[in-house]
Amino acid sequence: MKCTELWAQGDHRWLAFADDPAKPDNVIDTNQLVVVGAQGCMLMDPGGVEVFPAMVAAVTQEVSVDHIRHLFLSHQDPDVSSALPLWRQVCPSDLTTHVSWMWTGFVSHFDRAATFDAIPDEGCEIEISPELRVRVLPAHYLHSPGNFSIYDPAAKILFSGDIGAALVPRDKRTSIFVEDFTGHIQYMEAFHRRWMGSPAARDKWVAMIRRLDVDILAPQHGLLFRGPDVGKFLDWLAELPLGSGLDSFDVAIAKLD
Amino acid sequence: MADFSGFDTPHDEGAIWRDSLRDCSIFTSHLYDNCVGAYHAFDGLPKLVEGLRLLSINAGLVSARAGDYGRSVRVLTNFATESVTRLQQALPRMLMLKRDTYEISGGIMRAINDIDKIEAAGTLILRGQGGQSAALTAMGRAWRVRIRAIGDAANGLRRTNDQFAAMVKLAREVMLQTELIAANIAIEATDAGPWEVELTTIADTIRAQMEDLRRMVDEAGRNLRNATETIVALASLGSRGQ
Repeated sequence: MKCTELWAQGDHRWLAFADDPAKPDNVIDTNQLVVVGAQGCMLMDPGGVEVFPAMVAAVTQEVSVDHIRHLFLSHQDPDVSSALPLWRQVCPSDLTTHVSWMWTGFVSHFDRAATFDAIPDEGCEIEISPELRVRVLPAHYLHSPGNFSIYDPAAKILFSGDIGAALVPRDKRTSIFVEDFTGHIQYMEAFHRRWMGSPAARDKWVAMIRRLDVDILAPQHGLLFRGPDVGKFLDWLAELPLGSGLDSFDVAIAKLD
Repeated sequence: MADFSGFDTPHDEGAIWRDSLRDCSIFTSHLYDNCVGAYHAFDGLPKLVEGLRLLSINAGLVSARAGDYGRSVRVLTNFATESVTRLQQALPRMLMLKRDTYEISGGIMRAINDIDKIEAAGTLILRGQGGQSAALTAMGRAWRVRIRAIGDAANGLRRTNDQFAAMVKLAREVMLQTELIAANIAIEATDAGPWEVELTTIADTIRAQMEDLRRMVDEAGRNLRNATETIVALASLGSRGQ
């Protein structure tokens, strides 16, 4: 699994782990983001059980396993959270897992011994290290009804979970960043049309993010957006028709007649 | 590497971590098949018990109508009813044991899966560069916890299996006793004059049901014996985590 340092200033670093060559083809590709401070670090969407071996091996090349104090789960999907019991077993016993209050009981199906710091709907701040706090921002209904993004105002990096996700063929990945925004749309359009069901939530999220100073927008799947591509992505998302699955209701209803 | 004690010196790093699991996965697969097989051998038992219950009521009615011809059969019918009651009382307990076995087996499968991932992670860490002793120590700790969990679960399965074996023994006793009762009813039927045909039919039906019960008991017993061997192997594996 490749590690890319996205930003660094002293002990404060952002790392992206992606593109595991040993990953089975039928397991969806995921990016694992890590924000590191002087006295702790947080794994964002640490991944499913299938990527755990590669991820823990890769991340411990960069930070000590004893340094991992926080896990953040943007939502409840298995590719986000199913490795939770494994992380809990290898990380320090005071590891804190942050997840929407909506999902604590559901994620417990992966790990009934886990305890959670339940994130309220309006979000919160997480202190990763005394000098490092990140903002947890609501991203509900995009796609999960209890969904959050993470923003680090110092690094100007936004971890957006499934927002901005793309399914990019392996041979088309020449960089961890999007290099041709127009050409990249084909890899993310169908996903956003289908997975994102609420234009109202999309509008609020886009408006909220436009108020922030974002240099890098990092989704959980596919390539990261940086510089002007962040704005291009927000513009594109703001105009995209969502909820393509609604068409299937008409098909089903027609079959009832 | 010392943190993962209990394995022989490997020919390569990958083998250290993986060889332990290969046997373990096979054990678990066998264990699951056998436990499930043992319980499901008795899937038809509630129906069989209900059939026997109705049959013993019927035998009681026929023997009552038979007057003096049915005196002995009435006594035998009481024994048959007692046997049915014993089996009936065992059914809820059997269901509870089945639930416990599924739960423990599920736990073992999860532990096996965890160990697989932890060992794969350890292999990658060992192959990597740089000082990662903290990571290896953490992997070793997690590995031992999960291995111990398998040992604990194996002991739990041993207990449920022992209890289930006692139930299989009970079912076998009931079967042997009821077969004797059926044989005696058949003998009594030969002297039952006008009631001979009805009583013979009852005896034959009971014997047919006992044949079904015998098949269940044999199947369950076979699966339990196989499961016991696997549980011993798993418990031995679990002791490596101590």
